[in-house]
Amino acid sequence: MSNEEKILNDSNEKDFEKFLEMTSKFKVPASSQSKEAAWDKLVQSIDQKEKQEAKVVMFASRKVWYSIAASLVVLFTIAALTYRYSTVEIELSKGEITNRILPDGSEVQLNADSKISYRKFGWLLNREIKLNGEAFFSVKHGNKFTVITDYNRKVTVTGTKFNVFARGTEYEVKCFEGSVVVETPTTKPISVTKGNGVKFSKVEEVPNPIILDSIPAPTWTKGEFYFNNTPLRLVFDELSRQFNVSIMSDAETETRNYTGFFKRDRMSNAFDLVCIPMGLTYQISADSTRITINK
Amino acid sequence: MTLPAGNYSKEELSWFRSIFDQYYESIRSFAYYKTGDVDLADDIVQEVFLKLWNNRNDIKNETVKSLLYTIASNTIKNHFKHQKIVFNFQKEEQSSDTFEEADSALRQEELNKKLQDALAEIPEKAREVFLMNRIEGLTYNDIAERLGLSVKAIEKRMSEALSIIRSRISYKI
Repeated sequence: MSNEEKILNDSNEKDFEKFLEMTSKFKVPASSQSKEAAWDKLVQSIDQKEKQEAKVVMFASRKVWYSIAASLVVLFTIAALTYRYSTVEIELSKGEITNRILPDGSEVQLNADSKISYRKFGWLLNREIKLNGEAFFSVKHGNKFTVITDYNRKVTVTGTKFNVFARGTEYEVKCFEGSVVVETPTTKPISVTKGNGVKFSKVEEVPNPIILDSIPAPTWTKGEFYFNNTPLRLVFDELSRQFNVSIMSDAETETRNYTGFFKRDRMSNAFDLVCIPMGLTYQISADSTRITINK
Repeated sequence: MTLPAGNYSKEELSWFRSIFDQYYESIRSFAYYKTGDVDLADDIVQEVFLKLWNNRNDIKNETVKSLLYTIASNTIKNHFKHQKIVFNFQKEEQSSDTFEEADSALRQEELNKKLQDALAEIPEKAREVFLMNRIEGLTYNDIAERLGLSVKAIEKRMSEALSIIRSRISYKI
């Protein structure tokens, strides 16, 4: 190492020492904000974040799940109650006739002293109509439903016009359009086509076919009641229903058969039409609520 | 001290404040060693402490120190593009007893500039170790603990930094 280099080296060494000393005196430049300001800023960010998180956490929290569960229970209860109590009942007393539109747009004409019931809200799930009495249904094209009557007799239809008569054990289905399927617990399903009908007089009876004489609608919907070899008991029942009167007659008379008709317009005309051909007379009580049939 | 209104306990916050008090300067310096940017260093400090807060439930007190440095390193690595560093270290008030060495103010200034540039040229990892030791006066042990490294690794980085400074000086003439 030459002298010159030595001097240079020493000089470098000296500078190096000096450098090192200087570095230990260095300070990181001060911040534009104080430490306290930095803290405040930090806390602010934290609070903002906590707030956002609080929202997210709320959704996932147990509380919310409980409320969702509770809401579902309430909704379900309401639905069940609505379903349970949404049954629509139409009940006609004697002397009344009405037309109603069912939830699916089908039409039902209800004869006097008849009752139908169906579920308004459960309709889509349960297109069933319970009938007691007589009704003429004009089912909207393509719609399907079932009419259930006493003794679990059923008519299942798709977009047809048909009349159901169900009073006591008397059961009669007439088809005015398309076809219907009649089913009772004791018979196989019977398909009934347009212009035909079936009739049961007793519960376990073999059905009797009937041929319709009035198309396109049952005559009763026009206020005309036709009978063909029908026991007078049933004729009197119909008179009683149409004119809202009670009819007194003896049992023997009631078993006689009647063929003919009456109209719903005037009571005396109707009774004349039934009684005169049968050789009977009748008396109307002073308040017009009771009719006594005499031989 | 601002009192936050969020969903956390006072204990949590006072714990957090003590960590902040203890390491605010160090982390800020650390960020400065790495970036050479004061404003950036301030931003990084915010981010580092916020991340620490978010993980407060999983943190053990023994590891907080090194965790802070790890978070800082990662934050810088992930968020800030590496760029050429220009340091602007402030000098502590010049003590007048170095008078005999201060042959001239000009030479002082020249040296200062040279030193800052030399520091900027030290690779990041060696640089931060060197500065932690020189400026903050941290021991090798302490640095090793903070950075989660062995003391050997710190020694290696220190000698790397020193040799670069030494080589810078030899260009002097």
